[in-house]
Amino acid sequence: MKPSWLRSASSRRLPVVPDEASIARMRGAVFRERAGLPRGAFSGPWAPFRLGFVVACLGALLFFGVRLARPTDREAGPLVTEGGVEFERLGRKDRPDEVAFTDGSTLKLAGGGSVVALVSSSREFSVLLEKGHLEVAVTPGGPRRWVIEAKWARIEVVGTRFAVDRNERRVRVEVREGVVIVRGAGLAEGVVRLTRDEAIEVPVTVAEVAAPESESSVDSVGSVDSVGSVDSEVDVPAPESLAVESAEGGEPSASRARPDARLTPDGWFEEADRARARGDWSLAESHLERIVVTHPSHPRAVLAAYTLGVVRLRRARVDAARESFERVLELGPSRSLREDALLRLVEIEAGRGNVAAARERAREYHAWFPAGRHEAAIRRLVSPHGDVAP
Amino acid sequence: MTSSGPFLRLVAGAGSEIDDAELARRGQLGDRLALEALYDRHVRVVYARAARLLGRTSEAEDATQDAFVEAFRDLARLRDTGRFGSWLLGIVVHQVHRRYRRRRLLARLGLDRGDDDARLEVIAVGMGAEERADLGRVDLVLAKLPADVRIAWMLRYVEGLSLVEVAESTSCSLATVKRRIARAEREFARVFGPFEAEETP
Repeated sequence: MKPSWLRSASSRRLPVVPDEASIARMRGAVFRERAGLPRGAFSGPWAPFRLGFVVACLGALLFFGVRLARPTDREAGPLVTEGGVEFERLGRKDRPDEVAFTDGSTLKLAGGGSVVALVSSSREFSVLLEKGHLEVAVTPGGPRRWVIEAKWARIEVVGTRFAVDRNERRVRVEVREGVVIVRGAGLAEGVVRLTRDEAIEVPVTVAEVAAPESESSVDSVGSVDSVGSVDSEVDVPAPESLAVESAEGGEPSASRARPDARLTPDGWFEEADRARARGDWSLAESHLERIVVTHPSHPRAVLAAYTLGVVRLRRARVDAARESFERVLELGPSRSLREDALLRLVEIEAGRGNVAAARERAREYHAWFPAGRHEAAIRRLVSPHGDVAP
Repeated sequence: MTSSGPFLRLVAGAGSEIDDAELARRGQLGDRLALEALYDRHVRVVYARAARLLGRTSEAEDATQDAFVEAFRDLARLRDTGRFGSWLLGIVVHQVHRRYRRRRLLARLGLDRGDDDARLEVIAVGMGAEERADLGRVDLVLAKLPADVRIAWMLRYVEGLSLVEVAESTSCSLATVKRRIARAEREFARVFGPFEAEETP
């Protein structure tokens, strides 16, 4: 029995297909050659002599100390660390968990994980985050496309700072600066663009869930109780769930459907995601409202309430959106969701000109999050001219 | 040029009415259309094989081109025209060897700037990240092996050739091929742990 890595290396699984232009180009060269036409400087009977002459010239250049090739190689070749070696892996016990590259980019690993290099060329630098928390800082403007693979998610970077966290159930991406593109089968559209202060959790895709939880009846789901359990829904979402938390106007995104889950809150949630993906905001609102009203103790109720608020904002139903975000706070959300909901409330009150109410929400925010992610945004909202402190 | 051209163009375009042996025989007689038909029939396989063996598409294109030029030039020497495919493969492997030698020379001079854009993990389109990671490790092992060892192992396990076919295409004895593959397997075992590959002759 071949090991899996050897099966992966079979040519049947590694097709290389030349494009038609290449085939035509080669055909032209082959039959031109047969017709006796010259092909290039390094072909024909004199080719070894020409090549030898060129090599001799280059050798002379090197001999006289004109080593132009070195710096060019460094720029055009694989990305190397400041120690001058090609990056292979982070996360070995006896090695540092941080690496800095010659272009100023850095990778910093935490949480006992590991990172393995996949591709390092002049055009692409790609690593696999096998597990753990990875802080990435990519120097903008470099020649390489940076890609972080994390099994259920693929993060493409456009010069930025961000963090990726992978565990057995999901991949979380948080953007500190710049823009990243996250791709994953668990995303409704397969891809999402994140900018500064946005985050996303990409769940295990349906195919990856080894033993899906039972969802045979509403009763069984309804039996999930305790407000405490709600906290876990953002930190460790259900396998097929997905939530984009946005500080700057982004919206919760979609999830992958399980066809037989439609009578449960999970099913409604997924239907809502699909409706939002289609732009059917009314139907999405209806599904989400149903979860919040009929299953307030369900683990997804908080996320549903938050998403409902975003949908209502999208539909310009501001008062209804405010109610939804207030409902989020009542349902006992996780810290990150509370932080986002409070920001939304400040935005709504400030947008309506309710300065006192906006300040009240801002004070509430600062009480919970003295150095929160949205502090600057809230300060800007409450005190746009710098003359009214929150 | 023979007078069978138009007929040949029709059947070569249509599929497999004329086999390699007949096309090669007509090519030996100077029928350009027969050669074109052989080119069309084999170019994709040759290119793919060269790309995987070299790990670079640009060099694969050159190797493919040179292999066909050499094959068509020496076609008259091919006695068993039915073996055109395996004979062509041997020429491709020879071209790959030449490029490895050139690459080694350029690397010593600090001038090897080729982009390894056809490494196994790069061409593994559609595979999962874990499999690509494995292939990345395979690439790292292969990169450390001498060219003849690397080529022998890849022909055997990536291209799926039998040991006899590997020996023929590398112009080596069976014992030499086995020795080279065993050496590569030792390196792989060091990275992936001991394994038993399927033993087919």
